[in-house]
Amino acid sequence: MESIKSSDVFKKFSGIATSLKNSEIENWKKQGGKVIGYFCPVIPEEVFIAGGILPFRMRGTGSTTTDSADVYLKPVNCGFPRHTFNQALIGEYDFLDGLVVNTCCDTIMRLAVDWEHAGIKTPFIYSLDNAHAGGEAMVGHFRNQLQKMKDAVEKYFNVEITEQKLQDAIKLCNETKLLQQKLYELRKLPNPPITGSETVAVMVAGSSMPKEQYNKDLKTLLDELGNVNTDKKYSARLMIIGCGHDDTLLCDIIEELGAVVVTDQTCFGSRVMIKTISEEGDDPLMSIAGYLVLDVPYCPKTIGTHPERKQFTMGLAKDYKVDGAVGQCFISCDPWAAELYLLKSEFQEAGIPFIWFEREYIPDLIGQLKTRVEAFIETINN
Amino acid sequence: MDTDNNKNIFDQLNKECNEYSKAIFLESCVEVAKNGEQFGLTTEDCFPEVHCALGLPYYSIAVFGGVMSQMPQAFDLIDKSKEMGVGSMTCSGPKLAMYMVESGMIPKPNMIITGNQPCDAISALGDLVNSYKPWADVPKFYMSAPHDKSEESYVFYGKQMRAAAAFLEDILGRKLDMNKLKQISEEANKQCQLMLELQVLKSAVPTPIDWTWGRSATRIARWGSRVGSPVVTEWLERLVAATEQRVKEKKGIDGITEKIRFMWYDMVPTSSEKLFSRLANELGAVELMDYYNWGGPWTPIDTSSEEAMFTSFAKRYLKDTPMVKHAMGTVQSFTDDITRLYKELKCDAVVLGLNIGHKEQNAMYRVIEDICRERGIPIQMIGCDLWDERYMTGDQIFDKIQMFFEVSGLIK
Repeated sequence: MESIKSSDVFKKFSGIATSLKNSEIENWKKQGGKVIGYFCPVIPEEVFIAGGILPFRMRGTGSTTTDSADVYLKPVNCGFPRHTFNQALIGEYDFLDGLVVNTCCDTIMRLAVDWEHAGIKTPFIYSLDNAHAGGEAMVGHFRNQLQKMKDAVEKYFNVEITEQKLQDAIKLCNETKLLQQKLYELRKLPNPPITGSETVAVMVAGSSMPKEQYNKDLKTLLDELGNVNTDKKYSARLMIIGCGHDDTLLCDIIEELGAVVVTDQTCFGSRVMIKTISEEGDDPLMSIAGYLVLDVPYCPKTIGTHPERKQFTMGLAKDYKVDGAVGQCFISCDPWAAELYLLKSEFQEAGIPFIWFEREYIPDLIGQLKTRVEAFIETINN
Repeated sequence: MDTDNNKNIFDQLNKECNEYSKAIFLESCVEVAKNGEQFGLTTEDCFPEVHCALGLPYYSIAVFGGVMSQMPQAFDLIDKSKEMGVGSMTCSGPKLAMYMVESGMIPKPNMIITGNQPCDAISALGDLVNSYKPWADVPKFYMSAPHDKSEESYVFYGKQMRAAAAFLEDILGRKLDMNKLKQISEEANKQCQLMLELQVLKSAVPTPIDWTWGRSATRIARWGSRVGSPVVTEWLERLVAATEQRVKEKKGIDGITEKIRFMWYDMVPTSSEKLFSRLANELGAVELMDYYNWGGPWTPIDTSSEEAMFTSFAKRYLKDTPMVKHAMGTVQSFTDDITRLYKELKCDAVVLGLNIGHKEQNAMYRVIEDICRERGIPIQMIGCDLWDERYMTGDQIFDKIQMFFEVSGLIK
C-alpha cells in the first residue's frame, strides 16, 4: 500500500473527522440512541458511555463564518467556541440530545447560557466545574463534581450509571487509548507509515463515533499500516503543541512542504491517550478524577502544572526524535499563549528549534502561516 | 457642620487614604525587600484578613499591573509586554504585570500564592510567575477556586485557604494567632458594614460624594495590610459621618448639577479620572458604582470557630467580591447585581465597560443586554481596553456614553 489514504477504514475516519454529522451517529440515532456533545477532554466521556449515551466531542468543523455566533460572542472571544456555536446556531448540531460545557476557559464556560438564550433546542445542558490546580487535594472535590454531573445525566436521561457500567466504560475507553498509543508508536519510526494530517483524522474520529466500532476499525487500520510503504523521506520531523487541534490545516501546511508531523501535545491528540485510567479500586469516579487531575494535568489552565507539561512535552520531543516544534494557539487563548511563551525557553535550552504563533481557528488567509512554517523548516534543514 | 469644616474632613480623609494606600503599591514592596523583610506575592489576594493577622507584607501582582497602567511609562511597558509574545488579546493589565515580572521590576519574594481566579489572564499570569526562573527556589502554593456556588465548594475553598495559611506559617516560622485573626475578622466585618452604609448614602439624590470615595474605601478596607485595623474602621466611620452630613444637607458633588446617574459596570478604565470628571461637568452624569466602588453586601465572617472563619472567607471571596463573583459566576450573578444596584442607587443607565480582555463578559454580552432590556434597564456596551487608552481613548468613550444618553432620552 502506497499510503494509508487508500484504505477504506481511513477514508471512513477521514470522512467523520471532516464533518459533524456522520453515518455512525445516524445509525445510533435511528436505533433510539442519545448523543451528548462535550467541549473538552476534562469532561470524561466514560460517564456518558456508562449511561448508554454516545459522547461527541464538540468542534467547529465545516464552519465558514461566525456571522450568527457574533450576535452572542464578541470577536475578542476565541474562534473555536465561536465557530462551534455558529454551527449549532445554523442547525449542524441538531443531532445532540445534550451538551456539557465546563470551566476550561472563560469563553467556553459561557456557552451553556448562550446556547439556552439562543433557543437552540438541545434539551439537556450541563456545566461541569473543573479542578483548576493539580494535587491530591483537588481529586476528591472534582470527584464530587463528576458525581453531580452523573446524577444529572441519570435523572434527565432516565438511565442508571452503575459502578460496573462505569468500570466497563473505563475499560472500553482504555482500549481506545491503548490502540491510539500503538498508532503513535508507529510515528516513532524513521519513516512513519502515517502522516500528521492522517493521524489528526484518526484521532478526531475517535471522539465522534461509538467507541466499540472505532476500536474495531482502528485495529483494522493498525494492521493495514503494517503494509504501508515507508520509503518516503521527509525533510524534518516536527511536533505540534497547543490547544484543540481538530483540523489538519497546520499538518497539511507542514507536510506539503516536505516535513512530517510525528507527534503532538494537543487536546485532540496525545493528551487524550498518553495514559490510561486505573481499572483498580472500587470507586470508578475517583479513578477518573485522579486520572484527570493527577495523571494528565496538561491543560495550561491548570495552575502550577507547567513543570508536568514541560516534562511531558520535552519527553515527547525526545521520544519522537523531533527536529523542531511548532506551537500554535488560537487568538484569545490566554492560557496557551502564556504556556507557549514559557515553552520557548525550554526548547531553546534543549537545542530544539521552536516556533510559535497565534492563529485563527479557521483562518481566512493561510499564506502568512505557510510562509512562517516554510521559513522555519528551511532553518531546520540548514 | 459648616461647609468648610465638611470640606476639611474630606481633605483629611483623602490625605490619610493616600498614605494607607501606599501599602499596596510596588514602591512599598521594593522598600520592604530593601529592608530585608519577608514578604509574599500573589496574583489575586483572596484572604487579606489572614496575611494581616500574620503581619505579613503581601502584594498582588495584578494590582501592580493595574497601577502601572496609570503611570507615564505605561504605553512603553504595554508595548514591551506585547513584544514578549504572550497573547495578543490577553488583557493588558495582567500582560503588563507579566512584563513587570519578566523584566525583573518586582523584587524576589519569600513566598508565592497563585490561583485560577478570577480569569484566564490572571491564571496565565500565575503560570508565568510560577515558572519565572530567578524565582525557581521560592516556595509556591496553588489554589483552585471553584466556579460552582455551593456550600460544599465554599468548604472546599475554605480548606484550601487554611492550607495556604499553613504554607505561610511554615515559611514565616510563626503560627497564625487565631485570636488575632478573629479580632481582625470582626473588625473587617464592621468595615464591610460601613462600606455598605456608604453605598446606601450614595443612593441619595443628589449623590453626596464622587465615585473616588468608594474606591478609596476599597483600597484600604479590602486590600493591603490594614484590613481589619481599627484605624481603617475609624477612617470609614468619619467618611460615613461626613457623607451622611452632606445627605442631610441635600448636598451633591461639589460643583456638579446632577442630571444623570449611571453605573460603570466593570473596573474603571485608566482614563476614568478625566472621563468621569468630564461626564459630570459637561453632562451632569455622575458615576455611582463600579468594581472598585463595591459596597457589598459582604458575607460576615463567622468567627465561632477556625473552620467557620475560613469557610466564610471563602464565601466572602467567591460570592461577594466584585470581578471574582462576576467572572466566575453565572450570568444571573451579573444581571441580578446590575438590577439590584440599578434600583438601589436610583440609576438612569448602566454602562458595561466590556473590557476586551474580559472574555467571560464578551462571551455573554448579548444575554446581559437582553436581560437588562427586558427589565427596563438602559444599558450600553463600550468594548474598551481598561488598561490601554490607545485602544479607545477617554474622549472616545465619552462620545459613546454621550450618544447613549442622548438616544436613551436622558439628555434632552
